[in-house]
Amino acid sequence: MTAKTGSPEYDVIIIGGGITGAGTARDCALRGLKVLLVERMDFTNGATGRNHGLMHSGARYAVTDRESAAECIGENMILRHIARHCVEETDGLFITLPEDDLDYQSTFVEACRNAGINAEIIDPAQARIIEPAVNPLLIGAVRVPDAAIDPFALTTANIIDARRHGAVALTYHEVTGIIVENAKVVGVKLHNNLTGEDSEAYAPVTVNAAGIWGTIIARKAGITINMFPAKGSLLIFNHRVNNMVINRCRKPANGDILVPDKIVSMLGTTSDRVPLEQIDDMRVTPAEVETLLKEGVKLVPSLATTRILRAYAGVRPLVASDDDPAGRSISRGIVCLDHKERDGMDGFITITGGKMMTYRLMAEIATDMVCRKLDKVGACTTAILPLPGSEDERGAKKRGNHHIVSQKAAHERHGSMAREIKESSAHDKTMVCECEHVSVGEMKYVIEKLRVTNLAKMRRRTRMGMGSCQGKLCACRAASMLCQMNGDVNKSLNDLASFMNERWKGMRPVAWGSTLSEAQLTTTIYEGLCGLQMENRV
Amino acid sequence: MKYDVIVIGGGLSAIMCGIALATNGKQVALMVKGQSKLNFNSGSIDLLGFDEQGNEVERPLDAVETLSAKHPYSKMGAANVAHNAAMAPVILSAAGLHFGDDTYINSNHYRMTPLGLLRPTWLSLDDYVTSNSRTSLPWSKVALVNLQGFLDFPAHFVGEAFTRMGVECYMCDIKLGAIEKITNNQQVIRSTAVAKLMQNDGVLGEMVRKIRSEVGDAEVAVLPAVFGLDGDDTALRIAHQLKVPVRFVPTLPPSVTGTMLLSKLRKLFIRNGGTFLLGSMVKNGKIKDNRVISVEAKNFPDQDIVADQFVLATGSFMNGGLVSSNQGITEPIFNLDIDFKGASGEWTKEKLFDAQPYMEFGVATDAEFHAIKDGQPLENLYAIGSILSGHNSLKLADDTGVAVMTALQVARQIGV
Repeated sequence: MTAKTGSPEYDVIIIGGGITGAGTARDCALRGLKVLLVERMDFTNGATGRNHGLMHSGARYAVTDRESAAECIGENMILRHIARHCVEETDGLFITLPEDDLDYQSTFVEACRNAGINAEIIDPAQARIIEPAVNPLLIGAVRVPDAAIDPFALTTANIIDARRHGAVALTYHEVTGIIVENAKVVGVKLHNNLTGEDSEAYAPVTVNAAGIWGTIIARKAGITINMFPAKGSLLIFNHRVNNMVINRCRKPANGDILVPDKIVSMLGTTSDRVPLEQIDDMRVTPAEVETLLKEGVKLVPSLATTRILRAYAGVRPLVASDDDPAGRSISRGIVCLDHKERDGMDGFITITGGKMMTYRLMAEIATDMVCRKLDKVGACTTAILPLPGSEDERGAKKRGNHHIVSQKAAHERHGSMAREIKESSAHDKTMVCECEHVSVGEMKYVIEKLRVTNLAKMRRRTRMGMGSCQGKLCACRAASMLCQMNGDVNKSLNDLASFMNERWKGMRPVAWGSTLSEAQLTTTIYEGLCGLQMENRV
Repeated sequence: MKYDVIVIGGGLSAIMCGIALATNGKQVALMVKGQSKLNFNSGSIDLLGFDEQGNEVERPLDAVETLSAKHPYSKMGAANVAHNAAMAPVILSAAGLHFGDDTYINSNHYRMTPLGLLRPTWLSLDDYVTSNSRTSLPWSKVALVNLQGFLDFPAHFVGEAFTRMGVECYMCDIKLGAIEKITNNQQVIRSTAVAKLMQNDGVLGEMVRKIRSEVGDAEVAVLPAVFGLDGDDTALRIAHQLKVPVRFVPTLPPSVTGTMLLSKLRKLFIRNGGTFLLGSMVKNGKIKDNRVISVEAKNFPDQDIVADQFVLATGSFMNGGLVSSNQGITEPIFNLDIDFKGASGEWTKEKLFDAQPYMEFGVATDAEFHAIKDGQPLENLYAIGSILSGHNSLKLADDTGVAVMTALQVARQIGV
C-alpha cells in the first residue's frame, strides 16, 4: 500500500466484509470511487452468514415498527429484481394458533397495508393446501410476500460487482488501528491474519461497516458507540419441511419463524443480550435449543421428528439511541453516524443497525454520506442495476431448462455467472457434494474465479457440506482438489480437520439422537479410518 | 426351529462369534439387520494402537496389561486376550483372508490411510500398503493408480505420502470409459460401484492394459482397494496380468475391503453350518428369571425365536445398537443397563477430535460379558463388539480388536 507521503491510493476504505460492507463497496465503486474493502476473516463470516436467510416482506415489523416495515417491503421488491438469482419467491404465511388472539390478525393486516405490504387473509383450509407442513390446528392465516434469500450468494455478487468496478477487496485483513491526523481519520493499520504482515492504507474517508464489531473499530478511533450485542440462535433441519416461510401472527417472539432454504429448513430465533467479550465465540445453549424446538413444533409439528443438522448463532448489532446512553431505547432501524458531527472526528462514518434485508439501502445512505464528504456527485444506481448473476432478464425462466442437476444448482448459486463454469469433460461433470449438487467444474470455477483457497470459503461460495451429510465425504474430496492446487499437504489436512471441527461446533448443541450417530460416523471415518487429527504434521 | 445360540448383529464381531460357535458344533443363527461398521474397514484389524495416555503401542499384547479395569480386555484378562489373539488369524485364514505370518501377532505396524497418514495397527491383509516404520517403506519406486472421476480415493494425498517417505511415486492417471459414462451423468461414483465395474473382464482388462503401459520400472503398483467385492480373486488376477506386485490402499467409505471380508467370513460361517436370518430387525426380547427366553423380529411378527443363549452384537450409536435422546441413552431391544454419565450436554467435548465421553458409553456387563439389566446380569445374554462400554475405540485404535477378542471370548465361554 501507498506510503504515508503522497496522495492516498483510495477514495474510501470500507471496514467489514459482511453484506453491508460488500453493498457499500459496490455502491461506492459504481459511483466511480476508488474503493478498498478490508475484512478480518472471510466474507460473510459475521452476522451475514448466521441468520435465517429470510427476505422479510416487512410484515413481521408492521405492527411494532412501521418504518422498518416500509423499508423492508421497498427493498424486498428491489432485491427480487437486482438479486433474483439469490431469491426464492416462496411467499410467507402468518398463522394464528388456538392459543393466539385471532383479533391480532386484523391489527396485523391493517398495519401491513399501511406499510404498503400486500397481506391477504386466507382460509385456514386453503393455507393447509398451499403449505401442507403447517400446523393443522391453525385458526387463521395471512399470506404475505416473504421470500428466502441466500446471504452468501448475495454478498459474493456484491463483491464481484465491486471488483468489476475497480474495488480492491481483501479478506483476512484485520484493522488493528485507525490512523488519525488533526481530528481526521486518514487511514487504517492492517494486519494480514494469514501471513502476519502489517501494512497501512490511506483514504480521505473510512466507513465502519463491521456490524457488531463496529463498536470495537470505533473505539480504535477514540469514539464510543453504544451497541448491544443481541445473540440470535437458530436450528437447521435435515431436510426442507416447508415450502413457504411460516411465521406466527403475534408480536415477534422466540422461535416463531421457519424459513425454507433450498434443501433444508431454518428455525429461529432467540434473542438474548450477550456481553461484547463473547461476540467472537457464540455457542448455542441447551436451553435455547429447547425453546426453539418447543415453539417450532407449533409452527410445523413434523419438526419434532426431523433430524436437527446443526445449531448456530449470530449477533445482531443493536444500537442505542444517542440521546439515551443507558441503552434502554434501542433502534432496530438503520443508523448512519457522521462522526464529524457527532464526535468531531472527520473522515469517518459508521453504518450499522438495520437488517441484512435492508443492506442496499444502508449502503446507499452510507455512500451518499461518503460522496458528500468527498464533494463528489454521483447518483445511486444499485436499486436498478442487477447484480452479477441476475443480469439476464430471462435468467429466472432459464432455470428450468438445465437438464443436469449440478448446472441447475450452480445456476441457483451463481445466476448467469454459472455460464463460466466449464463442464466439458466427464471429470468436470463429476459430482463432489451430493447434497448440494456441486460438481468438480463448479469447484474449479470458484477456486480460479472466486479466489477460494480453503474449505470454509468453498462452503460459503458453493454451499458444499451444508446439506444433510454435513461434509462427510465431500469435504475430503474437495480437500484433495485444493491440495492438488496448492501442493501443501499439511495445510490441506489441517484445513480438512478444522472444517470438520467447524461442522461439529454446530452439531454439538444438538448432539443426541441421529445427530450424535452422524457425529460418531464422521469421526469413525476421519479419525478411525483416515487417521486425521486436529493438528496434522506430516 | 430352536437354535443353540442366536447372535443379534451382522458385523465383524457377530460373524466371528458365529463362526467360532459353529466350529464348535453349535446351531447358530445370525439375525442381521443391515449394514455394519465393516463399511469403514481399512483392511486391518486394530488390537490396540495407543495406550490410555495416547502413546503409540508397539507390542499390543503387552500393553493390554496397562489398561484400566473397565476396558473389555481387562475384563477378560491379558491371558485370554493373548489366547484369542492367536486364534483370530487361524479363523481368518480359514476364511481365505491372509494377514501376514504368525510372528505378526506380537507387534504392531503401520497401515496407510486414504489420506496418506499412518496409523498403528495389528494385523493387515497381505496385499495392503503397510510399514514397520513411520519414515520408510520397503520400495524405492511405486506406480500409484488414480482412476479419473473416482473421487473417493484422494490419490494426491497418498502420492505425497510416498514421496515424503522417500519413495519415488509415479502417478498413473487412468481414464476408463465405464467410469466416465457414470460421471458424465452427474453421478457420484462410489467405491462399491467401481468394484462392480471391475467385475467385468472388459473393464478390468482395459484398466490393466492402461496401467501396464505406464507402470515403467516401478517395483509395485499401488491401487485403490476397489477389487474383490464378493470375495472374488480380482486382486490376484490384476497382479498376474500386470506382472508386478500389487498393493492396495483403502478408499473412503463404503469399504470394498470390508464387504470382501464380510463376504468371505459369511461363506465360512455357512460352510460350518451357521444360519443367516437376513433382514431381520430384532424388535424386543422376552426375559424371565434373569434369562432371555426368545426374541421377536420385525419381519417375523408374532413369532418367538427361541434359543438357549443370546449374543448381542448390534454396535454403537451409528449402528443403532445404542439410541440416544436428549433425555438419556437406551439399548432398544432388551432395555439393558447403560454405562453413561451426565446430561446430554456433558456427553461431548468442544473439539471434534477431543476424546468424546460418549465414545465410552455402552451396555454394562459383568466380567464374563453378561449383559446387565436392572442391576442383574442376565444369565444367557452376552454383549460383544462396539456396544460395550469402557473404552474409546478411536483414541485407543482398538475397535476391530475389541470386536474380535470379545467375540471369541464369549464363543469360548458358551462353548464350554
